[in-house]
Amino acid sequence: MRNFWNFLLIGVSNGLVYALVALGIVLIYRSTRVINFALAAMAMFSTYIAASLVDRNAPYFVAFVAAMVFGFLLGAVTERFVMRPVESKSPLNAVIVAIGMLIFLEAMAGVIWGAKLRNFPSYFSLIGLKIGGTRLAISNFDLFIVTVVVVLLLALLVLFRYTKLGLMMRASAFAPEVARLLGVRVGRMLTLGWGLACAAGAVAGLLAAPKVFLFPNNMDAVLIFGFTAAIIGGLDSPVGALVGGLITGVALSFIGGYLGSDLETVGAFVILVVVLMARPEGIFSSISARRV
Amino acid sequence: MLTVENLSASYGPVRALSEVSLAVERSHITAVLGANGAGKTTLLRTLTGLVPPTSGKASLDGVDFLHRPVEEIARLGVSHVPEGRGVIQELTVEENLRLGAIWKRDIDVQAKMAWVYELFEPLKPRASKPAFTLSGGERQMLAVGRALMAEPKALLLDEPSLGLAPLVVASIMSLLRRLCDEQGLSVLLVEQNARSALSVADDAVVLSLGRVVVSDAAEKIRGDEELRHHYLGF
Repeated sequence: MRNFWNFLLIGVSNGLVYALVALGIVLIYRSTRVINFALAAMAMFSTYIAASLVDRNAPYFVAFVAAMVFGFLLGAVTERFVMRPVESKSPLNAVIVAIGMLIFLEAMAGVIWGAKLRNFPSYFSLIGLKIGGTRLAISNFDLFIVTVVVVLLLALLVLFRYTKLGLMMRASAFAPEVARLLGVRVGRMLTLGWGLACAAGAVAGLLAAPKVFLFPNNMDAVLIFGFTAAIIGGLDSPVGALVGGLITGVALSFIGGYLGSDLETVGAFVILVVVLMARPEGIFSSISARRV
Repeated sequence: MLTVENLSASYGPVRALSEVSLAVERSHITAVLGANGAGKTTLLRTLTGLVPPTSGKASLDGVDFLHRPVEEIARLGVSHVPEGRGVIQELTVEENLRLGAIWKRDIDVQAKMAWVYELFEPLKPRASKPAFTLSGGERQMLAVGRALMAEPKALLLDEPSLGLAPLVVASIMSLLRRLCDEQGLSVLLVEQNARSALSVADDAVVLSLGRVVVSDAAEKIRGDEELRHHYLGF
């Protein structure tokens, strides 16, 4: 029984990281209908920035914020100068450009920092907490993950629900042409949306790195789990991303815990296939299924 | 005053507008009539930058705006209520209204919204409901109310009567007349429903295959039986 609770807690902690990745995918998908496969590489690259700063004795939180800012800028620049030119073409073009960006960034990281596995510092202890003499599988760092993700989600909720900027961003995502007719500068909203999405990705990278280590492909598996979470959530709902992340995290934790950790990636694909067969529009999607 | 001179536009090799000229003074409604495919919607979409013009000029109170981006034309004071009403369904009624004036800094949004709710009473109790819960008539009200939020100088309406019951159409038309006079708007009213458009318009132009074939006072067109039969079908 203790195993059960431990797997559950680990699942929630991992699931919140997947939820951030899913959020990064959802924020971009719902405004541009593009799946940003480069998110994994953007998160990894931002994490390397943080690692280099820490190596130069910058405080952890300074490095953390710097990586977020870097992720934001990387996302914004990518939208404006890489994705914008292919936006009006067939959706496949955008997907291929995104995959190209993924390969480019991963190769660049290898050139700059080397392809070797390295440690990434975590400000909080990774050693399991003790409650009444029993050691749990979750640590102070997991509590830090929960705090960061909850704060970030609340901040985004406030932004989208209660600010003018958020209203303009939602309008640009739902109905770009109408938004433009109302004087909203939709192009800027898209750039901003990509920036926010990639900043969320950067945070996911920072939170995942102490557990998965840091190397140029370190976020690829996390992207697959985050993508599964986004699909479960319906691809266009931020709440769906959170719930999808938790479902994916907990399910994979049980699969890894009871069946063996090498089955986790397979498990993610099984979940993906089952969800796509049973409810292709996801659980939280506002749009109904499109027949092609 | 909205002025259009020799405006042309094409979709690829297809000429959709050929040298259209018209002028709408303040507090005037000009109806744009014609059959399906005559170029009515294209005229509005070209004026608001959604379709690139091939040649011609368009200005609002002497300011040339034709080649500016869509959002900048809107900020100049040209409000376009697109066909199918253009209400953003996922947003609430109030969010739709707020969006109408979202770029304006020197405006009391609350007061403006209260004014719109007064104009369109059915909207008020639905303020916090998503727009997809509204009826067709209410959506039209919301679209027009939203366009008015930014205090436009010119209002371009695309088929406001589409799919609405005759009584609702009549009340929207008379409200349009009142608003036009009170706010000093220049209204360009694109309509399939020529009879109800002519009942409120000052002037009318009839388009056929992208060209202006008739341009006259609305009253004259209403009285010209041959013209009505030929182009307007009533």
